[in-house]
Amino acid sequence: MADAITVQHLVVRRGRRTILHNFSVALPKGKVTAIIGPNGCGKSTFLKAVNCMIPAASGSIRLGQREVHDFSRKALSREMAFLTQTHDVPPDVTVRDLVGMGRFPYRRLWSGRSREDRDAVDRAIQAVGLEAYAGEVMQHLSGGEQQRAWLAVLLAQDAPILLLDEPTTYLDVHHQLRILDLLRRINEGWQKTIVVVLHDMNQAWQYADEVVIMKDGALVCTGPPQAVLTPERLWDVFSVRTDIVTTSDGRSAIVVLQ
Amino acid sequence: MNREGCYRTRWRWLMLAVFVLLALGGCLLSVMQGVAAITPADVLQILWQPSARTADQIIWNIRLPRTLTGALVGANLALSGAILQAVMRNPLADPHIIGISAGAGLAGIVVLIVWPAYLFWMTPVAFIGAMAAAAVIYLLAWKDGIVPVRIILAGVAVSAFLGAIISGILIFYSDRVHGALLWMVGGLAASSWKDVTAIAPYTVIGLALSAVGAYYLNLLQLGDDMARSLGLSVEGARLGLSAVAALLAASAVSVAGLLGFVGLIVPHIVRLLVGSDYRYIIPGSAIFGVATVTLSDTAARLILAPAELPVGIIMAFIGAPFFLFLLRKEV
Repeated sequence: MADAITVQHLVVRRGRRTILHNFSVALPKGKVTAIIGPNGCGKSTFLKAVNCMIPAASGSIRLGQREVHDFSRKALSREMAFLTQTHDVPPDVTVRDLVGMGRFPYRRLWSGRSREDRDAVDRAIQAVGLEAYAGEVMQHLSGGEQQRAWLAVLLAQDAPILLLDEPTTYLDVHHQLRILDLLRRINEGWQKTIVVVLHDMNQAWQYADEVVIMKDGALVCTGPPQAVLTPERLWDVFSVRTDIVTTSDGRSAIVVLQ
Repeated sequence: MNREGCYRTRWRWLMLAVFVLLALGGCLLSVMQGVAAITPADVLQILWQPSARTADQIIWNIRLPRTLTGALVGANLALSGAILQAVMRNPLADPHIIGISAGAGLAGIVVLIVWPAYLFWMTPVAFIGAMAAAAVIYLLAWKDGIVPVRIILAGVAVSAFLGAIISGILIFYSDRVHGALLWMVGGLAASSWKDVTAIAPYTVIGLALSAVGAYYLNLLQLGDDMARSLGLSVEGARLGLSAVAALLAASAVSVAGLLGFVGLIVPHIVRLLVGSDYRYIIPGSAIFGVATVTLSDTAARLILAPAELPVGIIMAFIGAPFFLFLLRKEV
């Protein structure tokens, strides 16, 4: 399988602190890759560096064969869509208008909204199941619905790669799983490469094809969840005791023990 | 589009229509009222068929240029404020409060007093002054991103500093400064057709550029990271839009002096009525800015008639409490 994003020897500094030390990883195309690691280990910084939102001190980040720094901002946003951990939105923007902003990378200075834009917006809203709320303003939506609206913005952007920084953090468990189910469907139905920072290792276990474990700005390991999320390694990285259990319907899950 | 969306759009257009009516009413009142009151019918007749009566002289030579200057100054200041509020992500941004007007004012007054022969270059020089002030404010306020309160504080400091230099020049060249006091508070009393032609091109250019910029301003409201990942080069957009705001403020300062608070009050009221979409805020602010300044200037002429107040005093009376109200509510 080809890699969508190849990162080699990436170093990122912020002020005097080095956040990422000589970080190398390959993120496979068409898969859901979960990035996990303790707070402050550089997960968000990594996503932002990949999307050229913060400069890299050294190293290379390639999309396919091409360096991300060689793309113009607009061209890059046609390749990669990114959902930040927190986002502002004026309370009175409708879902449709917000999703329409996802079409910005395709906009020319004087052109209005094309038929193609409208179709892309409709498809995106439909994919996240918000058709009934398209004309609703954001402040009337619940947290889960707002997050789905943001996912629709990313879909309208029509980029093959989606980067998401903790998209489930502010949601209750039910809505967390709905967002992850939706990501899975988007991955399969729209053939998107998805890279998502998650806090819950059990969610990474259940939903991800690949897991990247980070600690202190360095890569610990990468591979399929069953291979890398072992109790020993989770102890090393998070300092918590865990066990892999089999549920009554024959599936497995990670439980965190005291 | 569903029913609610349709209703919202209709409401916004209705509000824009109300602004247009207010602006037309403001212009008409401003032409009619003054030491010599002229009836609306006479005004329309005089505008339609000029003759050589006294009333014609008053309207064509005094009132009309003053009204038009006020209208264009109002539109420019309101647009400048609307843009700055989005670019600086700060509800209190206004060219006067954050010191951009003071930068334009200092540059303008240097031309006016020290090199009066180059009066033609007044607005371009004021523009450079405004941009320089904006750059200084950004530099002072920038520390891991922009924090609203820091911009205001930096602006107050820059404004005070530039204001002191302006006062110094005025005192030093006191013999040359006729009506400089009026200029310091912002006034339209001496407006002539020359002022109208000096500011009109900038209103047209500024309005066109802000209309193009409306979409960028909407994206900036999503926060820098999100705007960037949607493909906007945030720094470039910020620089370009700040330049447009500075140009608009500089052209207004060049003809009306340091008229404050228009750029603060107008975009806020417009936002309250039409919502946060800049595709409506931009035209709404321009039109409502016309209404605000023409009506305030009319009031300034009537309150103490036959004496008249500079319009800047009226704006400060309305604007300062409004600013304090916003300060409590939003920061």
